[in-house]
Amino acid sequence: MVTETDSSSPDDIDWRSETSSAEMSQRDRLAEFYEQSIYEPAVVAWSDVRTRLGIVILSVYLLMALVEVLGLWRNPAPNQAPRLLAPFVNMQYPLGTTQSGVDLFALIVDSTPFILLMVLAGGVWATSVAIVVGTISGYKGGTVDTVITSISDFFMAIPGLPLIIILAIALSPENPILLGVILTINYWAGLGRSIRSQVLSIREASYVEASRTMGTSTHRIILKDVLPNIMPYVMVNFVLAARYTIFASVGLYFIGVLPYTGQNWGVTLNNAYNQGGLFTLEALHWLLVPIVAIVGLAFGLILVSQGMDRIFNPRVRTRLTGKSESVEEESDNENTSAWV
Amino acid sequence: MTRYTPECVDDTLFLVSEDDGTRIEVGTVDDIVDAVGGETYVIEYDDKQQAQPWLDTDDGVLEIDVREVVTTMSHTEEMVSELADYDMSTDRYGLPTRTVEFANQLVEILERQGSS
Amino acid sequence: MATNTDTNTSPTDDTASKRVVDDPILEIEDTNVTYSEGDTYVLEDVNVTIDRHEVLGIVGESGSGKSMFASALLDAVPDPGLLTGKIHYNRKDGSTVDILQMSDEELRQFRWEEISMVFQGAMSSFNPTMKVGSHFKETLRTHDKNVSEGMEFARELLENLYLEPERVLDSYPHELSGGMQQRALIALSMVLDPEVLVMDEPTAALDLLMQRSILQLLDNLQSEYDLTIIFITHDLPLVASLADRMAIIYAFQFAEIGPRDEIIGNSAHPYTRELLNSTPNLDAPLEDMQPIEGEGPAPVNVPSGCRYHPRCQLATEKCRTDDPPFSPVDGGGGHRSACHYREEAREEIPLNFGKTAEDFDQQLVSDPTDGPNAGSTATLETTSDTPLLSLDDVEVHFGEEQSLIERFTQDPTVVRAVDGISLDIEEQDLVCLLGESGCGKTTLGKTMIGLQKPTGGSIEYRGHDIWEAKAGNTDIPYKEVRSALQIIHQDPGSALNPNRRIADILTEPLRHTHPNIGRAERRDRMHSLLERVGMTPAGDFLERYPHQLSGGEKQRVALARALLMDPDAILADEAISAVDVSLRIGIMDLMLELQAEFDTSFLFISHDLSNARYFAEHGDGRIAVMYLGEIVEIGSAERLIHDPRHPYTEVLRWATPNLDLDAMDAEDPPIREIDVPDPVDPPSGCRFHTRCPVAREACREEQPKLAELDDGDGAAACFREDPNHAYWNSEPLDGAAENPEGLEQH
Repeated sequence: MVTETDSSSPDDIDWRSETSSAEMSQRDRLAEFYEQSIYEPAVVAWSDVRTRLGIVILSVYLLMALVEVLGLWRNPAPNQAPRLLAPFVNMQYPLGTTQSGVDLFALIVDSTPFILLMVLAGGVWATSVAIVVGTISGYKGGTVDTVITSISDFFMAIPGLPLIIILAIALSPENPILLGVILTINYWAGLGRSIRSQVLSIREASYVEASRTMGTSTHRIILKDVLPNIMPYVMVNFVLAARYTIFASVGLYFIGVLPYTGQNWGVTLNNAYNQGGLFTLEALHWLLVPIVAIVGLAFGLILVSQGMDRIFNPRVRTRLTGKSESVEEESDNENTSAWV
Repeated sequence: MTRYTPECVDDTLFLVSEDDGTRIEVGTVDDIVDAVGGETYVIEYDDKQQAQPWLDTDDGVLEIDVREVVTTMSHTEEMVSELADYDMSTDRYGLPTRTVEFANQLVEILERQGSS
Repeated sequence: MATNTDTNTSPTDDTASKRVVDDPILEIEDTNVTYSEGDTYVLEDVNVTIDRHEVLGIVGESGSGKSMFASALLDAVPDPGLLTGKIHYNRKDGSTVDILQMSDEELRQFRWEEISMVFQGAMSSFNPTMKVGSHFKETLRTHDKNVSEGMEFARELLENLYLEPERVLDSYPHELSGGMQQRALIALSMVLDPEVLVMDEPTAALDLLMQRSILQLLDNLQSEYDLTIIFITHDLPLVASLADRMAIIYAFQFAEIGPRDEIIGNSAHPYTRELLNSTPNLDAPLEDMQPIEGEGPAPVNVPSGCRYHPRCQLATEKCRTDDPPFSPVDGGGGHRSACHYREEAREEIPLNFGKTAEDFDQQLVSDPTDGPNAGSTATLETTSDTPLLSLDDVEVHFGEEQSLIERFTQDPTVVRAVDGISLDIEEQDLVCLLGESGCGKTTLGKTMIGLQKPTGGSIEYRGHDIWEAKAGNTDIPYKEVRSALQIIHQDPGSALNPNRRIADILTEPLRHTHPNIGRAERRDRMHSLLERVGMTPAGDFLERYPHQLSGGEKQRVALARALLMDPDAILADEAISAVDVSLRIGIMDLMLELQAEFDTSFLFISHDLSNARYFAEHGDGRIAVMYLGEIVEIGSAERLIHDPRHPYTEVLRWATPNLDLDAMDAEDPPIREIDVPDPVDPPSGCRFHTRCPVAREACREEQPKLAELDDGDGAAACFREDPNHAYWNSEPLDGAAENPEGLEQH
């Protein structure tokens, strides 16, 4: 074996050299960030049919939101069209109209930004609180853990729906973000608890101990060693929380607990139901259109969440971004482990 | 090596030393079942393991009655010493910490499928 | 029959082994196992005959197809593998069946009753909710045997395996130690009184001492119950002590087969010879131990021609194109080899352990100057300088923090993982901690590098208490202490974060040592170090994720990561035990070279004396033998191996496999109990007295102190060092030797 350093590396820097004066440039960081956080996940996500479909569906909703924000479609108003027009009959009103002559497509589009904001707020709130609480509690342990788990116990003990109803009545939230947060006000407790138990096992892993031995700070260990490993789980739960937010809002609008200024999917559903949409064939589309909008969004979210698992799986990642000869080698490893 | 066998008093489980009768409270059987996560716990065996003549599984899946296991299975002194580090008073998720720890250890024993 | 060439070629040579000619129990013809619709062979073209009542040892590296061979014998190849060929089984009564033609029901009876198997990972095939006794009963019941007679036999078997039958049968599997479980499994596999026992790495997860003890017991069982044993392992020296014949599998084919003495002493295949030379052992001169470069191929890209040619030093054009036939070797009693150049192999690749003892001793004398750490010898003894790490009466007790209101009146539950150890580690020192699992060596190691807080005593880094520094009570920043002491873990699989590329993993230490360097410089540093640890092309490896590396490569990355911290001491916790045998020496050499280059100290944890010897002797360091939380002997590798003072060191010496054919046929272990006592309740007096072959009454009452040796380096904790001790006048304990003098001449 060689005892001297192979100095084949450029610029004659080897691992023992003194620090050079050159600092890491901003551009380097950006390039690295783009490569790892945007390009690779995008390639992986797009490679899967289900994820691709999910992305397409979600894009449709984003497009609808854009249409509304830019004012490209008419605002809903009574008597803007013939009453109870069936969908796809008059392309002026592609999804038909309600009993009071409101363009249904306009109705749906009108509330899309509101709903998306609310869903996002609900999902982000629930998962981010759960991550913070779960990782800190799991990684730190001791008194911190005891305090945090006691608090989340408290939240889990409160019955969710009545709390939300009371909050909704008391606060009358009309802001979509506030509404999203209220709807998932105690969703994080359960999620935080399962994240905590995952973190508990990850923190015993050798590589976490190695990082600790190097003196890496706790927040960096959590960021780099712990979080990536629970990310697939977190993403799936982000979607579940988002879906919960949609359904909860629709439900609460439907029973009339939430205040509403204009129309939205839940309110439309309520109106259609009250006007007999369930019983007359003529009004059926009035009921179906908001349902399809709601289910479609939930479906899109679920499809994307399934793909998230792959984005965070390094094996899939290396195969799809064409990194070195990994495909072949990986199958070797799998094979040998299967039959050795 | 002292063994600790389970003993139920009014639905509360104790582990009792076979040597000198010292006992440690673990919690109510209901709490343990809750902490384990259900009345049954399922472990799986791979193809090779299924072929062992002593295993009578349904396609490699063994369903374990948690209630029965906690009231019959004996434990090692080592496990009891670990349990003793936790106490019965502090609540965590509504269950005593020692009960939760016992459930964790039990699940680990089941998951290891007998290996140590 | 075609396969009988094996046994018929040279009937005159059958004295070379004790096997019976012309009574084959298994005849395997043209057997293949394929995957992916016949494209991928994981076992190719096997033609082997196994004789009744022989012990056949089969050796191969991980991924060589050796486990597949075991599965094939029971027609139990996992799906979707396809098994083709003929496997004839000759019953005792003379009738013959083809195992591959059996119906499912026939097969079910045939397995366990005729051929039984202990496979790798069988330990996790217990039913955790069933007592061990019920496992026996269930086995007997499913095969329609008389349960009470069967249980009688089971008790006899357990007893033969040094277990207490009643206690084991009445225990749940989790209540037994790993070694006991493994022996219980062996008894289970034999309870139906099979003819053939197939064992696939049955001891791999156990300590060396337990492995050797189990092999010894197997040897006894084999002769007592007239078994045919097929023992499959990666560990060549281990099986050599047991086997009558040995076979070497390389890349899914048999490379060589023959009588044990032929394979060990006169092998005719370069792979076998190089494997023998690469195996750390106690007999060979260190300089002659050579790793085999490269790794075995995966089934999808098996090389053309001879499969070994890419790693073979003798390979020619012929080897690249022509597949050598697996044909008899001249004059070798059924010895067959698949190599074009057998004679050349025998001439060109001398075996290192054949050298005489004089050669060996001379090597040892000249050794210190060859060690990469030459010149630092003086630091070993000097105490004037402040040591790098200083342990003073360190204790680590687990389970002490009991609450007061407990129903426990006494405290029987404290595990004394480390109990009163004092040790100094100098700058650029090298210390190996040696002992069985559960002896506290990992806990001690982690305490030394400040990962485990001691419950008693103190640990100082260059004169500063580590835990005081952490609390901020000393003038040395904790950050400095922390980066000075690094670790390499046992399991390469979990030592690297699976979600980060090698480049990211290696960036982490650089962030600590060189916080402000640019991307290009960072890469250059990592690049050069990866090349230094033998991973080329380094640029390619940097982009990979850990799952794309082999175990040996992962361990090199872990080493590189520790080195980038520029540490003063590195703890290597069984760092090579998960690596293939042929690669171990390579990694140890690398560690030793880098130790010299980086001026670090190494703390090396192992249960294997031959590895510890390689490390300690090359690095001019010490070996500390641990038993139940205490150091019982410490000294240079040379002294420990040639002049062990503590009976426990002697036992470990016995447990270390040997390639010397004369000394190979093993005697019974020089211990009275195979199992380690419960660490919760360690024996009184000398903790080893329950197993010690020379223990006397005095050992039960008084605890020996670790005392410097008068006539040798290091120290030992045994009364036998003191010629005036009361030990010499007290009675030997039950089972201990009356006249212990014989033992010293071991």
